Amino acid sequence: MILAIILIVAIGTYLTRLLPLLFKERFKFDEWSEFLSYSSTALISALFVTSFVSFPIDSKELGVGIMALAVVLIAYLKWKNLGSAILLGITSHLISRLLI
Amino acid sequence: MQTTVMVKRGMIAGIPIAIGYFPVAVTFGLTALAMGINKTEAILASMLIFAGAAQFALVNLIYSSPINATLIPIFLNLRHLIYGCIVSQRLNVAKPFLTAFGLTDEVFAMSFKGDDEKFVWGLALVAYLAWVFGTVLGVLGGSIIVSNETIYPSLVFAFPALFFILLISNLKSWHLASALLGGFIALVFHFYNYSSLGILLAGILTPPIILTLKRWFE
Repeated sequence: MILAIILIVAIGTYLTRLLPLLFKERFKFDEWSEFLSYSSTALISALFVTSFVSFPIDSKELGVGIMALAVVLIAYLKWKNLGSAILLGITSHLISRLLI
Repeated sequence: MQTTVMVKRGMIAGIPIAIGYFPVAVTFGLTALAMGINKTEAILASMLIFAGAAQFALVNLIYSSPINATLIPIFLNLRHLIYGCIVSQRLNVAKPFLTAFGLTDEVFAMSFKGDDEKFVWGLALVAYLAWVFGTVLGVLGGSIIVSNETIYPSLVFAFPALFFILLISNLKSWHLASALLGGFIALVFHFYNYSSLGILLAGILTPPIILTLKRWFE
């Protein structure tokens, strides 16, 4: 029973990822390019908000997060390297949690 | 460019995703066991589904309502339909059956850093390995990582840090308004514990509103 559910969810998840790639020729994406461009920005913003904020809001956690994001921003502007900026952000997040 | 070179680039770029996935996957392994799912089933779930929110929903509902445990995870993943549309518009997807499997939230977001399908394979591969390996560690007893209240939140901080960088490098003209509106929609639904629905609606509702506003102001 559990295995069957896992299998159905796996197939369902895979299809949500596959179908738009498989039938791309059926859609005229040029007409939708502006729509999809704004959609992708909104989606990344939504992913950011939902991963950064948790309810009920813990002001200490939020403060640590904001400080670490500032470090990420400065590091990224300085080096333009995504991986280094994130690793530095994680480190500063850890140090802030230990200190505060 | 050679396949191996692009995949390697993707794998290197995907390291921050793997860092973030690992503790969450360990948590999934532990949670699955706590909910009464056996080790093989938990590992199989991560190997076959490869979708965090959907897997947590599945193990949470599996004994109370098998129908909900089947339908809700699939519903949670409907946002992937939009990801697929955007990826297929940006990249030349020659092997959709392979590319589709690893198109998670984070892989989708990071795919904007590359312009080749093989780059996405590299991202997905390193993310998948972290996800499956983390789950294995979780079911074998990864409680040390998960119960560490200092390390765990800092490792999971990799996700907002990743999305933040991808967001700020994309905020030009009306995209700023798009980010604010999408973030607001998601935040409201997140507050009521409907985060996945909020993400889906942010992607669907924001563009028509922004396009309408743009027509008014320009």
